[in-house]
Amino acid sequence: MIHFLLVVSKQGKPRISRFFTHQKDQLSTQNAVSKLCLTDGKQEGFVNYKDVVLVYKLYVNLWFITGVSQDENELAILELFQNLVETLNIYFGKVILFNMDRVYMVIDEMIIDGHIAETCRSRILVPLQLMDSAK
Amino acid sequence: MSDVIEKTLSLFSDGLRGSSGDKNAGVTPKKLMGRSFHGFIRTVSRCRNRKEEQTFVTHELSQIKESLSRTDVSLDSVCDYLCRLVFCYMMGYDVSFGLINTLKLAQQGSGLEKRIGYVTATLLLHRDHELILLLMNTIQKDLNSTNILDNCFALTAICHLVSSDVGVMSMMLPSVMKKLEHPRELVRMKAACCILRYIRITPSYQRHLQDASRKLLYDKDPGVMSIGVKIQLELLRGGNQNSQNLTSDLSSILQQIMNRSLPSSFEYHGIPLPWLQIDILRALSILGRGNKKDSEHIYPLLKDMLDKINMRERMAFALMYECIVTITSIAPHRGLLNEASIRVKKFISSTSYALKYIGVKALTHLIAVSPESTTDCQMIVVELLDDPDPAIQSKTVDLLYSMANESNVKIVCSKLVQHLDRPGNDFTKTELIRKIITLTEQYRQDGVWAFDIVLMVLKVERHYLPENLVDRILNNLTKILELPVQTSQVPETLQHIVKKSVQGLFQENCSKELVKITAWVLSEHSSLLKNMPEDKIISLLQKQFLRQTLDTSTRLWILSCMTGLLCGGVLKPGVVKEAVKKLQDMDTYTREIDFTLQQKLVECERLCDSPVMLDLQTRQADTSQLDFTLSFLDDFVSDALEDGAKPYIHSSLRVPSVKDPLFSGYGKSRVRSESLRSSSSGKLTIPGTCSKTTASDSKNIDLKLEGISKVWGEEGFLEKETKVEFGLHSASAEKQRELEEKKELAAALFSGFSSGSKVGDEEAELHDPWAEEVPLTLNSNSTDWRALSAEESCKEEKSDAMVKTNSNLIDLSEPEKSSENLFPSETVQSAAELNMEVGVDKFDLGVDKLNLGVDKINIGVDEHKMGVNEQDMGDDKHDGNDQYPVTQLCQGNMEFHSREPPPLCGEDFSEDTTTELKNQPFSGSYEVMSGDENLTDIHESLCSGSHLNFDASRIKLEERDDSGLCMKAESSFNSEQSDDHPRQGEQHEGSLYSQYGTLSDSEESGHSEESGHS
Repeated sequence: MIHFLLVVSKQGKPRISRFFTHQKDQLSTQNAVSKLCLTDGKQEGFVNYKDVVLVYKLYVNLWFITGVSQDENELAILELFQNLVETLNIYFGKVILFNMDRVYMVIDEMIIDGHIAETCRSRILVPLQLMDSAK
Repeated sequence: MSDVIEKTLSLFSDGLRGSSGDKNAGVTPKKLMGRSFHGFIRTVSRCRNRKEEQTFVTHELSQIKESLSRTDVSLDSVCDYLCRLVFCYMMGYDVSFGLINTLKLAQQGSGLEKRIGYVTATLLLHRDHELILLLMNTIQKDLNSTNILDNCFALTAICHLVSSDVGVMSMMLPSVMKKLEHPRELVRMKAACCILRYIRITPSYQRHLQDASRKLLYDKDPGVMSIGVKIQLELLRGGNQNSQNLTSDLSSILQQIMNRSLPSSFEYHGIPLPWLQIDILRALSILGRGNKKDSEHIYPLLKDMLDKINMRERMAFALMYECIVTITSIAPHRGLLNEASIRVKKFISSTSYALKYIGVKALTHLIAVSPESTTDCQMIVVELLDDPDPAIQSKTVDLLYSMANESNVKIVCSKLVQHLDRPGNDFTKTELIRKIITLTEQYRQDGVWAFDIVLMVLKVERHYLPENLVDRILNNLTKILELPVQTSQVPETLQHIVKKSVQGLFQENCSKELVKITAWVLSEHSSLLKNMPEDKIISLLQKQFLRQTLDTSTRLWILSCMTGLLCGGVLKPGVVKEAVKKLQDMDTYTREIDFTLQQKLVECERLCDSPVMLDLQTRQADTSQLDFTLSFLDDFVSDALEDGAKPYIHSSLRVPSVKDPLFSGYGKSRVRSESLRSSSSGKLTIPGTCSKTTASDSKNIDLKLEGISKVWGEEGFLEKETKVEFGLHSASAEKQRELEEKKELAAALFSGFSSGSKVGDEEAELHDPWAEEVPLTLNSNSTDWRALSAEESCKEEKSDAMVKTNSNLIDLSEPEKSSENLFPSETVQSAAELNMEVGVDKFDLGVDKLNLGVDKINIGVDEHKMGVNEQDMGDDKHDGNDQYPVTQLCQGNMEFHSREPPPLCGEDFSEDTTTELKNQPFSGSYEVMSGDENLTDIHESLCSGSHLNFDASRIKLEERDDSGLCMKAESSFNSEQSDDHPRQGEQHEGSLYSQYGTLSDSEESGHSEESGHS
């Protein structure tokens, strides 16, 4: 089960923050989590934080961080990042920061309620493409 | 003012940059976010400090508030404002004024605006928010809309926002259920996600939704079906019992996915629907747990999977891990467990961080089921203990914890305590302490040791101790002291504990929990303190009492200890009175008066004066009145004897029936493990009994294992050691020592479950595991010994070959070993292995070596998933023969899901039949194998072909790691596109889109295409 997904800039500033389980103090979790991952000193890795495992990976200048439950398969989560990044690459080309709303939409298609729902890249983008063509 | 200027400047500069941005936008034909949002983010990220940012954002927020409240604001700009609000919210600002606008936008907008409204609403609200009710109306309306996008938006919102409130849920449920029948898979899938959420947050709905969710499993769309699997998994986790035929259905789905019955667009890096496969494996592992019948269904599938997994992608490793976990959690199967242990060993000896991590996790699962199959990993585990990475360390700690048994628990605990002193966050440390305490509770036979561990843990002040720790420890202590041990031993354990407690009190900075525990011990067993000078005890207690860091409750414990000692007659009333007076004075001087403490002090003082105390003292001194012959029990004893009770026999005369309850842990290996234990524990306790100072506390538990190798005196091991020492310098001799220590540690750790459990004692001596270990460990530690170890491994292989002559299959262990030594040869060898069919004999090897050069070139030139392309090409040829486009094949095949139960007939799918054939001998051999030793050999060599692929893929992975990952992702994607599309992608991609399109119905189009072809 995925509890949250964060995208943080290299300096540690939040860019995308999606919580799938409601937490009382999202902001402090967000800050603590990104600090932990940024100071871990690796390109990708796993850190324990409270009862969740943080899985993180650095893509160029963005950190992708998730908090998952202990029984989750961490390697599969790392691959989920890869899938997400590849999907975003198809849709946007390069800049993702300035299209925050779309990124949230892509994430919402892929992860629903903390479960990995759709993993097929072309199918993830179908609703967005439909929406764009309707305009 | 400066803000305004800055903003206009940023807007201006943005406009300049915008031209370059537009070129990019040309590539992706979409209208991206408004320009002002860009400017906003740029300005925010340009802020130099927090204060600057704050002034800017608050200014911006007030502007947005103002604009939103205007009536003439366009929907476009509302979208823009709301996105800014989301960004501000993420940075921690209060944006509650905009909430109502998000709801309005969701209600009024259409298409993109509506979606943005929903997205911002789900981001800014949470499920218990009061405004959710307002959104519910909109959701309800959109659910009933004819536009599928509106339906999807509403269903997504439900997934995020619906709480467990029964009223709201039941209001939504009928429309959601209706959407499960929707013709578009997109809508069906979202509706299925809603069902998943309903089941997760309100378990009471499970029964009601069971049938509907089961039907989802047979949906013809793979996406919907995968959510169906998730729902089943959730139901199984919730302890749902009604799972008829589920095992066979899930297995057949998994089988079909593995056989690539799906179109290639469902593949991720060459693996079809990997996440779905993981989910199915998880569900199967729950179904097969303790269920032999269901597990037998799963065995061949898992075997097939282990063999088939193409170890070139990281995703494949993730799948492999899941496979191993499933193997360990279903009813155990020896052959599969052996397979799993081989793979786990590869994982943990990997150089990649993530693989090692996941390997340790897998080993933790494996070791719980089959401890003896992990014996050849011992050295690696010992290495892992000192791994620099904290995440791997913490997983290794978990591993150690699950490894603990009677014979190694002391070493495990001492290692855990060592880990406690390393840096780490508080949460993991609390967890670690809890584990240590649990271990001392589970293996409390040796009370002295358990208490020592507790003292070690509490030696220094720690603020992250778990709750009710003191109660747990005291509970454990009482149970230790109640243990039925031989009469002569009781005082010894007790004496030790009391002695240690006194020593604990000497420490200046011990934690307050330790003070509490020692106070309790002293007052409970005051009689043992008789020969200690009074003034020493009292001054000790005084000193602890006056420590500044202690809180009231700890002081109360100390006071009650004093009272206890007073009543026990250890302290004379006069001494206590004096001390209490002193404490009272000190207490009032040094800090504010604590009334509870004051009261207790006064109570204690009065108790000293009371005549009861004096009476108690005198009575205890008078022993002549006590009846040591117990004559008052005579009547009772004679009555019991008449009733048929056995007469009392002195313990020294009794015949011991069970030799020692300690060593009932590991079945047949009892004798062996006992001898191991006695040798190691003998060494362990000697320094403890000799030394009596507090400083020896740590050494007592620490490993003193130098003597072990002598005790063992195994021929092979010692010989090799001397041989090595001849040729090496003194520096490397030290390394050798280190290695030896590690080896001893491994021996101690794994003493409970050595591989000797199957064979008898003499045979175990002949088949000494350490002698086999040597080359491998030498190799892993130092490069200097490579030549030497290679020589040795050669010898070993020869002997191995001698052993295995009775099986006429090739011995694949040879290339495997060399692949561990040298990297270049590994690529060559494993490349050869790629071509090698499973189970070829020696003649085929020669042929393969001819191909070898060609293969190597291929690997060098094309690093993108060679095997996958080959596979695809194979599929293609097959498709071409049949004159069917891929999509139709898949459609035809996926329809099997809609039948109950899905059959595996392969009439229009020849791949199925081949695998069926392949499976036949397997399932047959499985039944035989459990009994026969010879066949397991064949079995092993059958499988070793696949784990050689593992190495090749490891290299591949490292390559991927080295080169910039994102770039790699892009390029691999591109290459995939260029590879796949010309051949099969275009046609099939097109038809896939048409399935989603608003115009044509998917089934109809499929039908027309089919008729066109025929």
